[in-house]
Amino acid sequence: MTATPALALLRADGVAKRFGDEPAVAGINLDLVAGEIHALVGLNGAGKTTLMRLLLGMVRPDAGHVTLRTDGAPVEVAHVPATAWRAVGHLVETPFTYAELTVTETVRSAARLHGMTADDAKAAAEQMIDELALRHWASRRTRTLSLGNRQRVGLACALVHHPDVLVLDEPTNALDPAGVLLVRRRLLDAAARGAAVLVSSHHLDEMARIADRITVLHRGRVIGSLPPGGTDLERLFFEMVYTAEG
Amino acid sequence: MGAALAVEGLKLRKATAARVAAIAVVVAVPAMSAGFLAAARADIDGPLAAKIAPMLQGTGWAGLMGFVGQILSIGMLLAVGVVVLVVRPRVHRRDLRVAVRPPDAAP
Repeated sequence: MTATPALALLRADGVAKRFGDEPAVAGINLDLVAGEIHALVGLNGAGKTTLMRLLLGMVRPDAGHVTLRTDGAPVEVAHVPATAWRAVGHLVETPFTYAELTVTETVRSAARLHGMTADDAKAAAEQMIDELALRHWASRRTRTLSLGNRQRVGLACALVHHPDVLVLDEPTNALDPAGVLLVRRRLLDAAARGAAVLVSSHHLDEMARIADRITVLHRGRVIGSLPPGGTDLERLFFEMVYTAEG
Repeated sequence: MGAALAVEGLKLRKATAARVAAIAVVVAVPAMSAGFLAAARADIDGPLAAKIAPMLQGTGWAGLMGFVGQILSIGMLLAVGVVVLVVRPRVHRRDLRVAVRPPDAAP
């Protein structure tokens, strides 16, 4: 665990989003603080992914505001300049890869598109491929990879440029136990160097190991938080959910 | 912008659709041009010659280049269309899928 500086790099203020009549996110306030791992947990359909898409400006909120701190000042995500997004890394839903490119080319391209020079991108991509144990598949086209390895490539693309803000949606759901350990190490490293990390997961025990804060979402609302490092989180989680259901 | 162009160039070089389209343009356009001209010459009063006649404006190199240019323009239009259709949508398809997701499947 790391110390908790009070600098919110990404913030949601009363943010809400509906899909038709269905409220996906209903008035959520959330801060991502530098040097902290913030975990989102909830059942399927709780609104975790929609909230992450709202935070990343992929979806416009129906109400509320999302701000990203750039150059020391918070800016509405819709107006954040393209260069500021270089400091953000994300993996939401399906790992994004170009089918025609090799693992190395994909990770290097992600680094270039996040503002790194060609030389820096080459070195950073090689390092990330080693750190996520992708060396064996480095020359393989991504369309030939298994889902787990494609997820590792997606994570490598999100992490390669050492972002200040990291948003990962269920980053370990297709990984083997060794991959889970690698991702845990990378997230702790990112937080240790001052990045704000938001990660969603169904694995409460995994979140308990690495998170500084655990927020519980249910039906698009924040219904409470779980104590990081606590025991019997599953029971606490379901108590919250059943209470929220009335 | 340089990085984006470099990545797009890399994607284009590695995409099978782009390679096939490039080969088709390089091989098919001269082949079709030569074929049409040869067919028109062999059958001056035939229906093919009648169809090609409006495409042949002028004489000598100017006429030949004008004819090839017309075939090339159509070939390039088709090739670029195929490449754009096959290569580019892969980038956006996943976001599109999320955008059109029905309300009851919203995450």
